[in-house]
Amino acid sequence: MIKLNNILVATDFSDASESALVYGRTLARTFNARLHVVHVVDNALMFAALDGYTADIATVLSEMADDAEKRILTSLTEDDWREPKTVTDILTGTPADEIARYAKKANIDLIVMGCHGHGFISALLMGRVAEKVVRIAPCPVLTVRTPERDFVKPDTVREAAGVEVTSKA
Amino acid sequence: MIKLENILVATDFGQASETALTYGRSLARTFGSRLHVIHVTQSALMFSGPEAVGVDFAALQTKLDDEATQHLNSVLGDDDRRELRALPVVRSGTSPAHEIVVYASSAKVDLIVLGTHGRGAMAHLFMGSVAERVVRAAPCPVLTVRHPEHEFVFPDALQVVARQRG
Repeated sequence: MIKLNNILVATDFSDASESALVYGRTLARTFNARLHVVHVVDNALMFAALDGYTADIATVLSEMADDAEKRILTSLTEDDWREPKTVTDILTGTPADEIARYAKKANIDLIVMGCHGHGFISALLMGRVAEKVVRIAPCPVLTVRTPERDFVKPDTVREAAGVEVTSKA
Repeated sequence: MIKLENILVATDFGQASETALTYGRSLARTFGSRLHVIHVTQSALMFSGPEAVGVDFAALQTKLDDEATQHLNSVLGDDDRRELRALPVVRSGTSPAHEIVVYASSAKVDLIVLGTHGRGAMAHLFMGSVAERVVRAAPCPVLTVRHPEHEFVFPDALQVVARQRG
């Protein structure tokens, strides 16, 4: 049998992350595992955004962390506070690295993540995080996309070129 | 709630695939899902070339597919067939990821489970690509597992390799 005592949902508050939370929560209840919900404040984007400004980076980072903490707490349901109680955490750094590090530290048995859509920007910025986590994670990784069953041809060239590949349902 | 009526395990018969099958079985049992197990054989036409004059590609393909079917049947036990209604599937093509994604879509698969090779940074660069392509293109959630479990690949090692390549 497989061991699922600790399940980590890494969220960036996107629709795909909401789906990931649904999967993580269901699996945690089914296997009576503890759910961990974390968000990583990407400090690389921070520094890029603040380039040339004199804003206090530490203040901005801590404001972002506070905001993320609130958003995580509102995304949780009453049920998530039953035993074993859900753990939340806000990390700062490079998202994929921090997620892998947290997984190792907290003995995570499964990471659940949203995998973004196929638009040019989201594929570049966000999809890459999930792919990197798949590569470096110390444990199995479940990638979830939204909307479900949105069929995409594995034509990475068209994907990378930003051509919209939509299923005409 | 999530729906898990059909679970697809993609196998290349390697160790990581065995781990993937363990997860697929366990999840199928827990959620009462049907287990599909797919292996993608290389298209026989990939062996074509000047030295292959006179080769019967159709016969070669049949041989490859028959061997894969036998292998799949030996991997699946009676319990798999009885309790999980296990369905062995053999497809051939030039891109395993493409065949896996197409099958998942046509068979209304709710979850794909597949192994990714965790043998050091170099192995990732070459062998992990099927898993990564499936993650990118799959119509449903994808669970990637490695063998052995909890083997931590330090991110820095990947960066070193990336630098050497670049």
